[in-house]
Amino acid sequence: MNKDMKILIVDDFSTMRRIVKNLLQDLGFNNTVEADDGNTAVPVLKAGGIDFVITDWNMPGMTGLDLLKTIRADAALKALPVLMVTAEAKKEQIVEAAQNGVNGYIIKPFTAATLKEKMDRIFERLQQSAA
Amino acid sequence: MNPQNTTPATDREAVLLEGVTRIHERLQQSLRSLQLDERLARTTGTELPDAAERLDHVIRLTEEAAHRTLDLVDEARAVTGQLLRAPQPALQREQTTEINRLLSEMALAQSYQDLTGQIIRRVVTMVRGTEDALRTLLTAAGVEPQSLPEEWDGRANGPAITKHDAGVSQDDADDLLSGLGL
Repeated sequence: MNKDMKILIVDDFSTMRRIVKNLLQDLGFNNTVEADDGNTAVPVLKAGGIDFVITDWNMPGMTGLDLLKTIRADAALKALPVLMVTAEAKKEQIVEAAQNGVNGYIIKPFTAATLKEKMDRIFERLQQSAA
Repeated sequence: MNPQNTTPATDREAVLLEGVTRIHERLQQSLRSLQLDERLARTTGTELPDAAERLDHVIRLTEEAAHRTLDLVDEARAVTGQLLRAPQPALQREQTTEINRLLSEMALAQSYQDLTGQIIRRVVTMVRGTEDALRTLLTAAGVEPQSLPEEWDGRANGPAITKHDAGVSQDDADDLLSGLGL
């Protein structure tokens, strides 16, 4: 796992962005940028250079699910790994996210260990599919 | 023969209007007799806007407290970082005292819970009062309030809390996703 990769954190609550950023620093990822909903995340993604997206679902403006759909529909972005970190916990929602190509799903509140485990799993799977 | 078919349109309208007027009068009468008109007027004009304002304030207070705590965590980590990277016995006492001070401030920052708890408790009382008034109104109208599981409407709804939310745990989510090949 490349520790220099650039991670985009999308959440409407600045406190949650900060918590995720701190946890990522503990895991050795210091290269992070932030956006407060899908609408502000899209231009950051289109500008290029983002290697990984961690997004909330429930946000005003564009939701995380719509952001995921936008990423998967964009030729330049569609291979980008997306980890959803959200309080949304209905079975239908998890299935919906999976069907739209999410790479991982974490239900808030979560622990540092869960974040590490899901990120490791995403990269493992990406490596497997690339091999 | 159905008598409605023989009634001219204007007569049918008159009958309908009379029916609606009767229902309207009965509803107004029940509203007044149960003093619901006053209660609902107060709820709509005062209590609901008031509750929204109070809850907005709770969002502000919790956000401020979380940032304050995270600031203190950052400060404390800077000190523990120094201790780990370049331990200096001469500074140890000073650094430990500083960490203690930061921990005390973190504890103090949790006092938001008392304030927000009081505000939320007041809003809960108001919500229950509104529920009571609406329940009385529905009963007067002959409608039974229903307790139904919430079906997902395609929108995000925030954390699952009540039995109606039907949220799953992280373990359930993991099982579900591995079943879908993730």
